[in-house]
Amino acid sequence: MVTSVLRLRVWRPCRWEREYLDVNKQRPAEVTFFQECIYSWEPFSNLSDSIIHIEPTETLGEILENFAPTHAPEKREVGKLKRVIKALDNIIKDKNSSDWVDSQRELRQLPEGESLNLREHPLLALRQHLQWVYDTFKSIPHVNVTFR
Amino acid sequence: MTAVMNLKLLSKEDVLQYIKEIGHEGQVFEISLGEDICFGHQWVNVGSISLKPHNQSSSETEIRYDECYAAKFGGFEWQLPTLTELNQNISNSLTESKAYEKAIQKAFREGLQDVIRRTRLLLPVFDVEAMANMPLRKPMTIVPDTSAVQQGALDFVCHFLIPWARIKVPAIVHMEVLTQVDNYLGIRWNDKKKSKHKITPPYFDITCSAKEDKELYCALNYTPTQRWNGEILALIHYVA
Repeated sequence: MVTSVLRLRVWRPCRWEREYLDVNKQRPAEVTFFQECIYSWEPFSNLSDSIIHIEPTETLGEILENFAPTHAPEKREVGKLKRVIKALDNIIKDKNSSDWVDSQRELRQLPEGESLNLREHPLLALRQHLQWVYDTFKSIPHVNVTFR
Repeated sequence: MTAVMNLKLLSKEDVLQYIKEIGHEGQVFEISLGEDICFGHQWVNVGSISLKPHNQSSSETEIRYDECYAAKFGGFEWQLPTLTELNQNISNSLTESKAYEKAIQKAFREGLQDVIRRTRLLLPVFDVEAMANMPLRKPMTIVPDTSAVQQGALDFVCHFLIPWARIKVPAIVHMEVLTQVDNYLGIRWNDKKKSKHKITPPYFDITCSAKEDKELYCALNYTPTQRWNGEILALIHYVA
């Protein structure tokens, strides 16, 4: 199985039912300080496969860098995905920037006994999935997103 | 380019061959839906489709992912009209039922959304709390009802929430879907005079059914001589 270099995770502040002791500060831990993962998704193929020119790769890399786990949760809120979706739309709109490619993962057995490699557009699939994440989680406070 | 063809679907392979011809060499073609009871002989445009085949094969012996396979295995892009355009298309196609315009627009949009969700071009929005409890926290089994199957929730779970969630489809779901399709086609094929050949093409029915548990087929057209025998012809085919 091909492992994607990108993993999307959606987080929210922890809701622990028990109290925990922060051994470093010697006081009860602030639960809102910690985040719990509530959704995770990994594209089935490498995104760069569908990008024809290097320029969109750099643009996309810079945008996704804003959602690195090292940034504070409030700086990578789910609402900011709108910018990523818009950037992806601009890349996809340009037919010379990205295209459909052979899927590395899915093979389909044909009745004649042959196998056929399916085709996909990983960048378009990412755009669709980000739109779903935005639509699903946008109204939930303090939900944030990471890419790594 | 708009291709107008009088389709008589005899098998799924025939449909795919027609689509292959229509979408040959990157031709963008429009897709329209009709329903003679509601719209008479008018058709509602629901966007345009472009097939994305592989233009080159790495070797002569290797099977090429051509337009036929692109249509069969989801290698296409479907550009939908905007909400305003779609509502306008529906209104323009209504001949007599102007009094129910809003209700028809709503029903049409919902039905179209269901089809698009089952192709995973549109993803269903779930309750966030239910989703948040899913990831590896506790074993969860999803038991879908008939609506969940028809509206694409089951497809979403199969594709994106496995292995977090297990799926158990009750047998009644399968039976209900088949019964609904049977009832629907029964009405379509039996007019007031009970003639089997009264409805003449071109018409464009859209409905769906489950076949062999794993495959859902979307039927888009039937010739009047074809009787419902448990098999659904397919234009759009996808595996759940």
